[in-house]
Amino acid sequence: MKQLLLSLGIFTLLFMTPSCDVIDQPFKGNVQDTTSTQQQRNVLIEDFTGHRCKNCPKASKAIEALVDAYGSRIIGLAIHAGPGNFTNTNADYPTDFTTPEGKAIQNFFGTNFLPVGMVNRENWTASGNGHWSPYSNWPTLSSEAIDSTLRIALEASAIVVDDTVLELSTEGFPQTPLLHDLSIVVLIKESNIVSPQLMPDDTKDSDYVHMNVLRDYVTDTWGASFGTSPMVPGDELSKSFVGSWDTSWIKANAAAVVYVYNPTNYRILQVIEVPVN
Amino acid sequence: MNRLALRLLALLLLPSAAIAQDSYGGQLHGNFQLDGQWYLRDEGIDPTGEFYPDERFLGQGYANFVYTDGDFSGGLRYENYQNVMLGFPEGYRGEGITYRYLQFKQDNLDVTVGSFYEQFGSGMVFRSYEERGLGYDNAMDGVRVKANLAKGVYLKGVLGRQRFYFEKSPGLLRGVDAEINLSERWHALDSLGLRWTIGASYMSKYQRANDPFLVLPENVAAGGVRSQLMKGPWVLNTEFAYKANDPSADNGYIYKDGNGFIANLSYSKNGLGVIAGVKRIDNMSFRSDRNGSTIDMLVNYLSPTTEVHTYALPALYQYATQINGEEGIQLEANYRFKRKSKLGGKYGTLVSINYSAVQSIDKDYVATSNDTLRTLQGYYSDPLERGTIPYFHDLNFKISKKVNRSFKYNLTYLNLHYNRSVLEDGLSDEPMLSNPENIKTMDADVIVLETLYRVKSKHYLRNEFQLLSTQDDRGSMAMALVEYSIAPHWFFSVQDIYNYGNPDPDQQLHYPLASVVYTQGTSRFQLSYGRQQRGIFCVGGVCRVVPPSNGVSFSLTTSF
Repeated sequence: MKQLLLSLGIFTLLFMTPSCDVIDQPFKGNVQDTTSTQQQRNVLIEDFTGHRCKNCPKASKAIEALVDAYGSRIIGLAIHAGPGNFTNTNADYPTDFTTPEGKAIQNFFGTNFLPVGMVNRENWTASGNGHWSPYSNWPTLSSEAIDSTLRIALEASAIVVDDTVLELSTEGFPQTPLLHDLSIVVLIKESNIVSPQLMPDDTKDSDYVHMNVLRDYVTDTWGASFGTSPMVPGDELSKSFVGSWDTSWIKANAAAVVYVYNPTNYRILQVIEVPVN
Repeated sequence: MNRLALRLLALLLLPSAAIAQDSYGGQLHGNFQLDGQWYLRDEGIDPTGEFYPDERFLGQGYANFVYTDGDFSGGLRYENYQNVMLGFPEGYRGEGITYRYLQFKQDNLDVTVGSFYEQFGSGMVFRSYEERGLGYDNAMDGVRVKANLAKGVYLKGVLGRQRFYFEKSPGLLRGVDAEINLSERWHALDSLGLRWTIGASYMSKYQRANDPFLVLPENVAAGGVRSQLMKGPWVLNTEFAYKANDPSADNGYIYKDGNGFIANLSYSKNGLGVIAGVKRIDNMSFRSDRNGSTIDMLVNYLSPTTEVHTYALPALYQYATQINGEEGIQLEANYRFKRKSKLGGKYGTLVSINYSAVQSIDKDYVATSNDTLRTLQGYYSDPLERGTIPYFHDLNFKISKKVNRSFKYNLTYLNLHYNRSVLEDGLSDEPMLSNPENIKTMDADVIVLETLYRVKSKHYLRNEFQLLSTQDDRGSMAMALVEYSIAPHWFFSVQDIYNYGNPDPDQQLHYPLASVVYTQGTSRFQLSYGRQQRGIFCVGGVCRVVPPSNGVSFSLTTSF
């Protein structure tokens, strides 16, 4: 019996050494320092959503909470793409928020359920799913991205000319040596759009306020070449774009989102959001 | 050890090993399956084309290879999804070796390294398994040790990560299970006719946490105790499990602990079989990724207390276990009237009745204004109080009778209540308690008549006639199926489901499906053409949604 108990003890210790954390106070205090004037790495959360997807408002709320915590370092982008029963229009949900570019991104990165998102498109692999994350994981992923090194700083300005033409200028400043090419994407998003949304309790909210809605890409879906390897700190990159402005968009609610990514793994190195003047 | 090294070498050189199996006495076995479907655009079942795949043809398959030589075995599985077929989880993208292991037994130890499936008790604390039809696979990748320490004393230890499609879960699992067969150790019990086994298990997961708002437990533990007592025709199984604070996407990031209880009592003697079961689950979602959803990375398995129907129409409304909380009962009785008795007839008659009901558990939610308590506790639940939201009930009767040497039939009646808000829309209890008028349900009466007729030697004709009568959801449906099989090679089948009661006249559609199967030895080839309506496919209380489709599908399986 002694030997039995000894064996049992050793066996159990081997596998049960890990214990259990019991939490009494679930909330953390203040989060990151957002007072720094130097540009730091920002986070683009591409939130794949639909106005007939009842859990999607929860994802939108998660972005709002992160913006409250981290300010302008979190940039949300609501991409209405996914299964038609979540994104198609009907009499109750008449606004078509879908875009061809959103559909193209959804198809390329390969998902068919909502809500789901990508945080700076980290961890992409052709056959994997590591780049997708549920909204519940966005705080953790955002926190990790925010703590990571800034590899290129961006500046941009956007102006609407003659009410129909959008002119954008962008500049990039490598902060570390970059041994791969860079691509740049420019798009327009709009917030404060009131339109019906299916809610988590299965009811329709006719006065729902949609935030960060992808309106259009100024570049094509996969952007334009922005820099060629190698690049080092001190280099200055620049590119200008001209696109069309839809007069139904409200400038005060719109913003131009500019991001630079590594075209070999789609990882977004930096993203900024600038007002449309 | 040299022999072990030789076996390892043989496994690494599998083709050679197969040839050299006589030298080592080992055997190589395997099986292969390939499924594919060519999808046709069908505006009747999918008016907007939302389910119509861009690829038009989708195919997937797998092959298992297992080499065994005495106490040593090893194997691997190759899987390909190019691309994954409609209705299977989208996470399956690509191809590769997803399962590989080496295993040996020595000195009362059974050691496995690599991939393995394992289960503690009924699985309330831990179950790693695969269900191909669902696309479910949470295989462990790590180390498993099983030990027989003394007579009647069995231990298992596992350490590893779970499969997450072609990747691994972010959480690490480590657990131990002990089982003691008391009757083997104390013969006094045996002499009393008692066979008693007790067990206990513990599982802990570790997942890194870096949430900016919440202090998340990185180590979460669950444990359980169980007992199986048998005496004569009686068997009593009980199991209780407890899980410590585990805020997750499933439970809305509350820190409440979880618990579950299952008990089953059965009696079987002289043609009479009775089973009574009760289950209660409270916040027992346990995944190796706290952000996981649907059927991804589940650590435990909560067995259903409802009957799983295989007939097509009742199978449209299967129950899926609600891991956040449910309580249910199941009662089943069957009796076989003896041959040559008044009710048994010449060949005997089997009559069975099954009743199962599942509902919400009692939940007294903490007000949202009390942030901390709401997050820590979520809700209070009294296990002695019954929940008020019915999730599901199923009352069914069956008669199985062989009339003569050539003809037998099964007649089944079912009465179903199905909470669509819970089981299809995934609504939690709180909004349903607030707005009970918004709960969507489906109540139906179903009749199924299945007949099997032996036309002549090796020729069989099987028919099914099903009727599902309801005013809810998609309305009433009728189905007829004819199967003709010529043993051992051919099998032909034609069926049609007519959704004549659909409230939308445009959706009062027929769903015809024709199949032919050819079997040769251990190989089987199936070709089908027709429509499949949307539904929910479940195995053991775990379910996935199947979208509507139309097209030509084939399946090839073989083994060696």
